[in-house]
Amino acid sequence: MGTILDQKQSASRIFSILADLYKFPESDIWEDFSCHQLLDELRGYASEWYESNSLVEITDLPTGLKQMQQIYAESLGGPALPVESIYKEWTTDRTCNLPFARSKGYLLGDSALHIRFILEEFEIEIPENYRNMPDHLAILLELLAFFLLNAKAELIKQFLADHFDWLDEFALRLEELEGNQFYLQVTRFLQQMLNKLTSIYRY
Amino acid sequence: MLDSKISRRGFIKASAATTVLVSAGTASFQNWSSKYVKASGKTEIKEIASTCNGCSSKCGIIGHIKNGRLWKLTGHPDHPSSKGKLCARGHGYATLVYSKERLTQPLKRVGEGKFEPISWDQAYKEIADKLNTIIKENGPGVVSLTEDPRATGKFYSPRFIQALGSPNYYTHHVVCSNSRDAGFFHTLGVTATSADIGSSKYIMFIGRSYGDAIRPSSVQSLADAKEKGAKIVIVDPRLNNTGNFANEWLAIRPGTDLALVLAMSHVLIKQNLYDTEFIKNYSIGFEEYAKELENYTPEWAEKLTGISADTITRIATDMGKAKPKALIEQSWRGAFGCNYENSTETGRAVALFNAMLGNIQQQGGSIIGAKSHLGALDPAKYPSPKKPELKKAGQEEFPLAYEEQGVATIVAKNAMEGKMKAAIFHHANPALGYGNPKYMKKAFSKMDLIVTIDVQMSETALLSHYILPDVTYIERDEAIESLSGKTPGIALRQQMVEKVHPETKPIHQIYSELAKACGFSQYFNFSLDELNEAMLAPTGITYQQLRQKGTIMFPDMTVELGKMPELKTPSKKVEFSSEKFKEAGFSPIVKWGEPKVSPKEDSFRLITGKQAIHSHSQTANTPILMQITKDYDLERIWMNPVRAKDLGIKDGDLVEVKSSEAVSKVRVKVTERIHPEAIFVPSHYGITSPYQKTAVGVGFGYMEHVPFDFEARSGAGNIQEVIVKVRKVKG
Repeated sequence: MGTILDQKQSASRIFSILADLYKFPESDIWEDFSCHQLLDELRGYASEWYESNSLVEITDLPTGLKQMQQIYAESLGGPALPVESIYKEWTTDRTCNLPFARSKGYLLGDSALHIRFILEEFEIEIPENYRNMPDHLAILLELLAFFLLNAKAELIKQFLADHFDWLDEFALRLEELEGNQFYLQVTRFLQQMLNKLTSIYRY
Repeated sequence: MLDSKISRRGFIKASAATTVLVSAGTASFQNWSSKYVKASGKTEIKEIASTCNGCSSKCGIIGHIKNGRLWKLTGHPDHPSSKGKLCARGHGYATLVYSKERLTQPLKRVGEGKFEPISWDQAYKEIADKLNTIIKENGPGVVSLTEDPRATGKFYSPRFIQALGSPNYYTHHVVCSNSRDAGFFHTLGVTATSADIGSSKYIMFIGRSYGDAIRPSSVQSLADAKEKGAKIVIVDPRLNNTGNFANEWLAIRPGTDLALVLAMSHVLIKQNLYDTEFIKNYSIGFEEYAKELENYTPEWAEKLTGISADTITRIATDMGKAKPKALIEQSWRGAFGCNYENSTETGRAVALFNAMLGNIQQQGGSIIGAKSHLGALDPAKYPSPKKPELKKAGQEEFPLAYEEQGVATIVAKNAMEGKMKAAIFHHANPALGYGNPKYMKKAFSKMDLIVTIDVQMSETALLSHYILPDVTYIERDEAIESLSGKTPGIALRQQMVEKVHPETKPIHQIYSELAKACGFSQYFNFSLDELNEAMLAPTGITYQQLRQKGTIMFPDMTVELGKMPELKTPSKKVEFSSEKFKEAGFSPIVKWGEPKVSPKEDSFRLITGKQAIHSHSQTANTPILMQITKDYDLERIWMNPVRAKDLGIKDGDLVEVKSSEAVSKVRVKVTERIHPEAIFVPSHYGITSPYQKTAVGVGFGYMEHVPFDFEARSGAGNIQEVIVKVRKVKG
């Protein structure tokens, strides 16, 4: 990598592209994806961190938009929702006496409220569809990409520690699903990138 | 706004100040959590009065809302069903709002079990086009709408189907209380009485279990009665969870409840313990009935029911002596809501037994409830659709069924015969719960259009052409609910939290928007608030007051005990002999009738019922409730030890249950709490929808074993006319 600014921009692009891959695939994503532009760009930026041959491979590629949408619907669209809340204890509020307060598996947990707080504090808007799912991985990755360019290291470090510690469990959920492995491979790739970033921001 | 360098398809949009704020800001989870989540004392907690949807009781609840989320639920102190308490289902089912397994957007079927998301506009347009084409080609009589009604549905659903020109509105009662309702309606002029349990001295429950189908105030009333020394008798092939309160359990042979009630009625007459004054003043046809009752001696009933003649005589005598503070509780599904071929007659006999005790409108007896007087929309401003001239499908075949509820399974039968082309299902899962699932699936596959409006991917949704996602009861306002009973009142379901999934919509909005697409928006030209304001107008209560209190009772309209009202029967009196039954081709007086099928020495009757933690299959996918099922192996079938020993079956063994309709495998609970001729299976399990990950594969659905059928009088599902054989298998 070149200057620190270049490094930040490259890292930001990695997580920005990955954010796109966790959104419901529409035709514009498919256009970039089908001509390999998206993955090539991703690997190009990532190769500044890792040797090409040590990057996690993404090989189980969808062959058409319909198939990609179907794969999404059968994994990220339901059985393995990429939403932080459902992989964490719903609330740390010990005064909350709802019977599921200490359980995992529910939307709009504390992590969602925290992201909502961050969005309000920093005057950032997200689409209405994600209003009550602000801790969706696509949003988290876009925020990370944005923070990499604009925030202090302390905030980035804290954000990484607070909101990406559930991906092992998410990946396990994807592993349990039969069929196409595309999103599992993308998630393994994401984890590799996050590991690198975390090591950079460790101190 | 920032440019799109972040991402070409970037979701997040920052303000001009964002970069500055971010560059200086910190926002660690720990700091935030300490400040906003854990410090409850400093955070505002809003209380919103509403109603539960964990079962059909719709108890009053108070939602405590913190940081925009549900934080606590308590029972509404003023609501007659909750009286400040909330049951396990009420607490558990509320998790639905934050469930990850909800329907979140309109879906269109693109293959078996395959759906693609579509916009609301596309869904409305395609559904409306199909409905209009079907009606143009076949007439409106081939279109139907079925629901398990809640307050908004009760108003909007019949209006919507009528706007289409169809009379075919149905409710879930075909597998709930159609038989009881028909029996009571043609006897007392109401589909149900309520029971003044707290003041009663002698209470008999037939199949009904307050300890399982919990309504908190009913349990409290029973506890009060018990404390005051009331005698409590349970008549049930299984010792249910009301057993803790009971003095006596009569393990009756299933399907013979009618024989027991007839014999008890016989005793009342023989011992001259019936209320002659009441009979003389407020009934017709008693002599004819009394003559018929001569046949039904306790000795006769002993052979059928397995309950000794002495016991029958003793209990009937004691109830006669305790009258009018003695009653047979009216029940819902229990043992005669929709269970056997003789259930409507059992319903009639129960109503008549209570009448013979003279307990109608008496303290400690059976109460014909009062209703709140609510207003209606101004027809000049808000025109109603014309009442269809067509008869509701099923009315010809089952003229005794309560017309407002209808016979919902006629939709499947007519579909099978090519006479029903389109069906809308709202808050209902008929493919699993109303009739044999194989039959229902085949029937539904013959229809041109099925639309399901629900919160989760039910078995019915899976068979639908279009699925429209409803919001949960925690996320919506509803129409005002009229509470009838000894003291009438009103209750309001209110939105407690912002809807979690933006593409979900409340049912009143769905109907209004679909009506516009269908071309009859003039019948839905009002808002929900306008409807509620119109309903409230005669009460003198403001909408604001109701919103604040949630439940308001009208004590000045409390039923005057001791004063018999004019009944809504043709004779305006209790009908021991019914011309309506005669016109329909049945005996005008109640006579003993056998159940349709009976087990032999090597078989069992399959019976079903509730457990206190679930509401049929509606709550099965609730993780914290299903965990209780798993922790205590509650999905097991119950078998008597005598029969188990004969079959070489031990507690916990895996067995095969085989009927004319299906084969299931399940583990056994060997218990003396079940009649030797019966196998009990809880009604909550056997979910097959793969989208309900918590529930799928747990236990088996008893309905799979129930042949698709109609009880002759009320059209009910005959859900316990099922014979099964059981054998041990490896596993």
